[in-house]
Formats: sequence, C-alpha cells, structure tokens
Amino acid sequence: MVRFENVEIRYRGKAPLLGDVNFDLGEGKFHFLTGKSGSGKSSLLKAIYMGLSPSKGKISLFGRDTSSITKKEIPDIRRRMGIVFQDFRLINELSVRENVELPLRIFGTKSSIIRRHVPELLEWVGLGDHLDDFPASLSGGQQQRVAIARAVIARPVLLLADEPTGNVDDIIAERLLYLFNELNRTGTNILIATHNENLIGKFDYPVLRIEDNRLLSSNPVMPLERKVN
Amino acid sequence: MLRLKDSRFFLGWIMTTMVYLALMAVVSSFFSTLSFDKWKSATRDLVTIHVPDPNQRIESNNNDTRLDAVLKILRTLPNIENITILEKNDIEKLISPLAETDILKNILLPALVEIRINNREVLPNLQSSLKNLAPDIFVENHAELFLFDSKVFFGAEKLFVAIVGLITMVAIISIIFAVFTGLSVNEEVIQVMHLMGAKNGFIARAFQKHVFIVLSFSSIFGACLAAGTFFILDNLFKVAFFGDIEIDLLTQFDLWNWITLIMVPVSYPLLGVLVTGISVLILLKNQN
Repeated sequence: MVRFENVEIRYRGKAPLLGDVNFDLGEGKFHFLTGKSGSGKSSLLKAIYMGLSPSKGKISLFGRDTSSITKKEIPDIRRRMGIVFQDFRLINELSVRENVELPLRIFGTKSSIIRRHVPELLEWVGLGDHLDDFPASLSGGQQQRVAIARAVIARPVLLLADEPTGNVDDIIAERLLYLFNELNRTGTNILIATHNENLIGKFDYPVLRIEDNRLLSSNPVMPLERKVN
Repeated sequence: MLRLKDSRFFLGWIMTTMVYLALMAVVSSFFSTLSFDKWKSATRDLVTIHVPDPNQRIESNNNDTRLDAVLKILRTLPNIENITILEKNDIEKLISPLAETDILKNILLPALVEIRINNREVLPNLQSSLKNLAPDIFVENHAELFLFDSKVFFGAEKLFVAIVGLITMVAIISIIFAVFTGLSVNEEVIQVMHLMGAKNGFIARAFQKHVFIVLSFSSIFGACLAAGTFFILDNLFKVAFFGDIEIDLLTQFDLWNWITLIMVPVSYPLLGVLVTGISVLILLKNQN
C-alpha cells in the first residue's frame, strides 16, 4: 500500500527533517504516527499524498514508485486517498453538504448518488441537522467531523489524518477515533498523525514514532521496521 | 465552489462594453457597405452630360439647339437607355449647396442630361460625337468618380474590422486577467481540490461555467444597449443626412447580416469559455 525505503525528506536548503525512513503499511491496517510538534509528521503525510518529493530514497504508493508517476497520473493516485487536514481546509463558501459532496463531484459521481450518500454520511457523523450550514457557523469539533466526512465520502483506500483530534476535547477525540476504527473495519487503511499519547494508549494499534529525525516503529510485523527501544 | 463573485461585476461590465462596441462597429460597417452599395447601384451606369448654353443653335446641324443635337446623338447611339433631361429646379437643387439663390437666378445654367448605359464601350464613341458637336459639352462618368469613393469605403470597412479585432483582443485580455485573479483568490481552495484528486480540467470547467454565465448576461445586456443606441442613431442620421428621402437601411439587412449581428453576442460567451479553459489549463499546468 505505502512503502518508504531509505527516504530522506528535506526542505530546500535546510537540514534533513527526516532521514532514512523505512516502513511498509500493509492492506487493511490502522496505524498511528506520533512525534513531537515539528518532528515531521505532517511532512511524512505530505510525502505520502505526493505534496512533497523525497530528497533521497524511494516511496511506493499502491505498488507504484512515486518517481515514475507523472503529473497527469497524480490525481488518479490521490483519488484513492482521503485526507483530513490539521486545519480542516473546509471551503467556507460552500455549505457542509457541498463541502462533503466535493470529492464526489470531482470524481464525476451521479447527482442522484451524491444526494443519497452525503446526508447519510453526515447523519452518521452527527451532523444531520447542519447540512445547509456553512463551516464558519460550526464549532471546531463539528468542522473536524465535516473534514472527516469529506475525506471518507468517496470510500478511499487510504485515509491520512493529520492531528484529527487536535482541536477537540478528549471525549470527542475518542469518538472520532472510534469513527476511524469503524472505517478501518470497512476496509479503509488508516494512518493518523497525532501527538496525543493518551489517545494512542487507548487503542491497540501499531505506532510509527518519529524521534530525532528518524522513524521508529512499535509494530514488529512491519518488514522495514526500527523497533522502539 | 470557487470564490469568483468578485470578478462578476468587473468582468460583466467590461464584457457588456466590449459586446456593445463590437456590435456598434459591425453595424457601422454594414451601414457603410450598404449605403455605398445602394449609392453605387443607383449611379453605377449613370452618365451625366453637361450641355452649356443649351439653347444656342448650331448652324452646321440643321440649326438645332445644342440640347436637341445632343439628344439626337444619344438616340442614334446603341446601348443607351433611359434618357432624362433634368428640370431646372432639380439642377438648382443640386447646385444650391455650392451657390446662393440670388446667384443661381443670374447665371445661365447648363442643361443636364442623365443617361443610363448598359455597355461601357459606348462611352468613347459618345464622347467623341459630343466633342465634335461642341468641345465644351462635358460627359461625367459616375463610375470613374466611384473609384476614389470605393477606396474610402473599403478602407472604412477594414477600419471597422480592425476595431472589432481590437475590441475582441481587449475582451480576451480581460478574461485572462479575471482568470488569473480568480486563480490567485482561490489558490487554497484549488490546492485542496488538487489534493482530493481534482484534475485541472475540472477546475477549468468551474471557471468556464462562471465566465459563460457572466458573459451570457453581459452579451444580452450589451446587445440590448447596442440595439437601443442603434435605433436612436438610425433615426437621427435619417433626419440629418437624408432629409425627406426615405432610406431605411435596416430593412435592407440580408440574412447573413442578421446572422453576423447575432453571432457577435453569441460568440463572446463561447470565446470566453475557450479562452478561460485554455488560460486555466496553462496557468495550472505546473500545479498539482
């Protein structure tokens, strides 16, 4: 699904943010990605959704080496992913319903299907009464759920979530994690970047940990792992 | 999904003005062409013979007056039809812009004979026959006068085409500017859409839809303004230039004239869609 081999990530003219990153996310898995703020969690996610090219090493996505993927092919690769951004990135000019509809509109899904699925999903995330509200009128937690609904509406193969619980209290954070758990059960691979250790501790999922610019793993199953001491 | 409302007002008014100006230029071009064609067809085969001192008798010609002698020649020559001797009033009317009424009463006006010819080959023969009769009889061939006028008219026609071209260029630049501004304003939204897997074509279509709607309304409004202005000017021109002569050029527009006129407001939204699509694709080429 996602494979990093000796990957180095650095921003132009700066020291490497991450070096010698090796991991392999298998099918149907749920992983946490953790590390201190500024450790490179978001950059690693960015490299997965091809918003950033590695300065060294090889990244494989869905069996394809990203260096061989042309610009024209990138949208097709991204359509297999759902991304929950740390800052939600909801479109303020669109209603909750329209925000969640957007990926389906982009994929060219029939309007009848969109009209049926979007309210269902928003109902499921507890926003059934806010279909026609605009993001600015919602609380942080509600916006977070809209962002999640938007990320999962097209049933992505891989869901990347960057600090999805960063703006909500612990109770909502836990609820969101159960939501991701449900999604994982339906076959979506999930990688959640979070620095909330308490939350990670409540779930028995493998953890990718970034420490000192290196990626360590708590999951012995992963073939290219570096075990946490 | 994109924030494009800001450009609606600016682009809408610019395109209304462009469509309005383009229509006025096209209509002006048609008017000049039709006026010229009408004038040309009315006078193309027309020849005017100026006979000074028309009542003077010519001894060598059975003591006929000069006018009668001219008429006899005209009747004997082939390819001449429709001989008309202009009335004194008509001649005075023709000369009136050049001379005052008092002067007209005191000068001996020439007789003017208008003829229509159906073959230009008769002209040299006619000219030599009349020269033999009296050297001061003057043959005015209207076709020759048109040589200069036609150059002026065709020049004007080219000028109108150039004006329409310039207007279209300004319209295209305005659309590109609006697209560029729209892309800058929506940079973050477009970035999110790219991350969702949106292709540039999808974003281009969103822009095209917006431009098409704005330009359609602008074109309709511009066309209405042009029609209003045109009918006012048409009536003013009639009074100013043609006086009591009934010249209604609008009724002389043929099917192609009308199709061309309709095509102006129709083509601007279509051109807008094309320019927008190309601009968005070029400007987003290196973004993903």
